[in-house]
Amino acid sequence: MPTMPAPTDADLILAVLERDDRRAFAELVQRHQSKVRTVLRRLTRGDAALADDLAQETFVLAWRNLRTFRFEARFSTWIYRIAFNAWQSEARKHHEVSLDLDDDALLPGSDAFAEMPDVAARVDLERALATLSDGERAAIAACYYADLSHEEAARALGMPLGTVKTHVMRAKAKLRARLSAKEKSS
Amino acid sequence: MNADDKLDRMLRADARQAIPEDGFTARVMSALPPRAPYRWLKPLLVLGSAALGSALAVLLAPAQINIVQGFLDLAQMRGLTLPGAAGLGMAAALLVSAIVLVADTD
Repeated sequence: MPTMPAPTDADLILAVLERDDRRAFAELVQRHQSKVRTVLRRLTRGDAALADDLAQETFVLAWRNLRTFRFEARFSTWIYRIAFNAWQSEARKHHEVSLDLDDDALLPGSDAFAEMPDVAARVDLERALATLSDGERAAIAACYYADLSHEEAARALGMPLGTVKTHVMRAKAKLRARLSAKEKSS
Repeated sequence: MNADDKLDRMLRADARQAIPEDGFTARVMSALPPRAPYRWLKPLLVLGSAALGSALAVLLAPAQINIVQGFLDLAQMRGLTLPGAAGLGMAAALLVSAIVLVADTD
């Protein structure tokens, strides 16, 4: 007996818009929650609780504004844009606090890292990511963790394309330097 | 493998780590605004009130104000007669109701 293909994101969005179908929206959340939460954890320097609060806010905002979704873009690109905005608003509220974090406070969210095979390397990476500026971290989160192209990242972050490219280049140079210094010292 | 490849590989491997769902979807769903009970009720009330008001205005209007005559006056551009003004007022009330409904739509 042939199995029904899984509905696409667009099918689920239409079901929400046309029938107020909450199960379809729950399916969308389930599909995208892991990536959105991962991106937000990297943006919030590993603060899992804050990242999850922002992820929840992101999906609720997506629900409220689903009618404004244009089907030319991927749903994931659209939701990351909401997530980046939520993070930027939060960062603006507590900017001094995030700038004052020291290395000891930058431990990664334990549950996400506990099951990783090379925990030490990931802790080093997480710490190195936390030393980046907000813009550099956002560019890395968009291009690597959200898997957006530079153009999509520029749109999602509301930055010029050239700025995104520069942020990625500088961030990678800093990460390489920090990780190789760590390798030499250990 | 050069340092750039290694860093790319590390970042992509880190990005692939799935975060367990752990009831996250249920928390999001419970934070959504409640379902609107009767989506058709509000437009019905607004337009119904406007229509009822118009019908009452027609029924209770003084004898010299004939709404049908008013619309004919307006259509024939006979200037603003008393029945014409009444017709114009009725049309304006319905238009305002429609604008309120459109502005209220998400």
